[in-house]
Amino acid sequence: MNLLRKREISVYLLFITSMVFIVQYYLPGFDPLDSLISLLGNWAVVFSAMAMGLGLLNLATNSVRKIQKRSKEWYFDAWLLFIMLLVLVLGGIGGAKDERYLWIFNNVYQQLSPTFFGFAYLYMCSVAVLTFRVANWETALLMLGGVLVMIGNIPFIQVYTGAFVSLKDWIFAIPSRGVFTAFRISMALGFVLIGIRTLLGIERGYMGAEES
Amino acid sequence: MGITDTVRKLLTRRTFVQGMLIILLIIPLSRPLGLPILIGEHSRAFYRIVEELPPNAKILFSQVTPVVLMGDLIPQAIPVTYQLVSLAKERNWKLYFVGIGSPDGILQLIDSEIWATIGWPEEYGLKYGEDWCNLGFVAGGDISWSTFGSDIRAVVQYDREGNNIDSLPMMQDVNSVADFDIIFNNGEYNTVIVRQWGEPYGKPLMLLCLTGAVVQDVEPFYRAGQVKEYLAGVRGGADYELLVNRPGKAIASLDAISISHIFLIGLIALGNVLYFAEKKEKGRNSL
Repeated sequence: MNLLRKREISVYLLFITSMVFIVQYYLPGFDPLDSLISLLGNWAVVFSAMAMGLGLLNLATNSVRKIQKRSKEWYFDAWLLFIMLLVLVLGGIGGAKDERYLWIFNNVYQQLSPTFFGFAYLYMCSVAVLTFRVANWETALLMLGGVLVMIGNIPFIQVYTGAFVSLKDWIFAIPSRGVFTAFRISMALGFVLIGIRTLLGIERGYMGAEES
Repeated sequence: MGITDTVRKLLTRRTFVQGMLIILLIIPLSRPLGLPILIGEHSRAFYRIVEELPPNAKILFSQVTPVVLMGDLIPQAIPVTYQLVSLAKERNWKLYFVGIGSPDGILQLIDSEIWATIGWPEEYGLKYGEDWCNLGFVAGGDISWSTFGSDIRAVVQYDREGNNIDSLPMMQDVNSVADFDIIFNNGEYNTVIVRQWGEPYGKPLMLLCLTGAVVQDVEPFYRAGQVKEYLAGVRGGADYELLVNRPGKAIASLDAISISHIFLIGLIALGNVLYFAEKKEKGRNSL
């Protein structure tokens, strides 16, 4: 097997790199390590930027394949490819301040993104009648909490009735904060465990499926 | 057909509910009703902290605003940035803008939404490179935040205008998050910013965050003192517009928020009334 394809190499590399970061955390100001951390950080930023390019390439390849095969709704892929190339060319030639590029950004992309977000609310309202029902005690409690918080969040109600606001604040400050804090701590502990397992080479999911 | 059936049919018709909601939203947006607002405690505290920042303070303003969430985030960023730029000259504050992690148009959003609304910093007497600068976009996740925190020049060599950052007078004595006096973050990655910038450098963090669940996510950090203060969504933005005496987008959208909340609560209530009426009717029929 090719040496570079050996999974152990990835595990060793990950272990060494992670140890550099861990040791540097406990030895701040130790110059050789600080410089190495800066270098690794810089690499990571470059890799992240490369990942965007890779994503773009992947999207383009998939779209071209679908167009060639005349897959279902292939014309959407053709449209995607056309717009992607158009924006890429305009931005690439004229830079990020090119007027035509900015027109697309400000008048199309910037307007469409929140519009899709708005649709979610429209759909939520239209199904609220059928789904948010008090079917048992558990849903009754959930509904009561949700509605109280919603009422407490209505801006002009806060002016006229402090009771709902106090109730909402209490829900936020006591039960909700408690749950979120517990959730955060559990997540952090989970991260530590996964980190240790990854460092020791037990967790290998990041490398993809094992070869049989 | 009884009235219950008619109402049920109407309410289960998606186009009817959505049409009603659109009408209810268009009215206050096109003609604000001017419903009263009570300024929240967090907004007041946030404003006070900014007002009390010492002269010569170096302020890092991180913009992590995905376009999809700009409706919630930009209305807060506008009045806060306005307060900063309008006081910067008098107090000799230095403002550093940067966008890390969220690529979709962070930099363009600052131009088209913030500066286009309040005017460019030069209009407030600030000079680019001496009083304010835009360090541009840095790709990546945790590691980018971490590296920017410890060594800015490792990840940023040129600013958004293409100048080498070493040529900017205001960058001469700045190369780490430790060199700033206060940090603002507008948008996502609140936990990352606490982890990578707040805790390691002990700098006060001011967060402009989304409403609802995200505020709940920030609250434990706030109670633990890891976040100095936060603004919560459009509501926080509206409070801030009142505090800086510059009514804008957030106040205009508050009436719509009030009405849409009431509409949703009404729908839930009506849905449950119908549900129990149906249940009662079924029980009666089965007897």
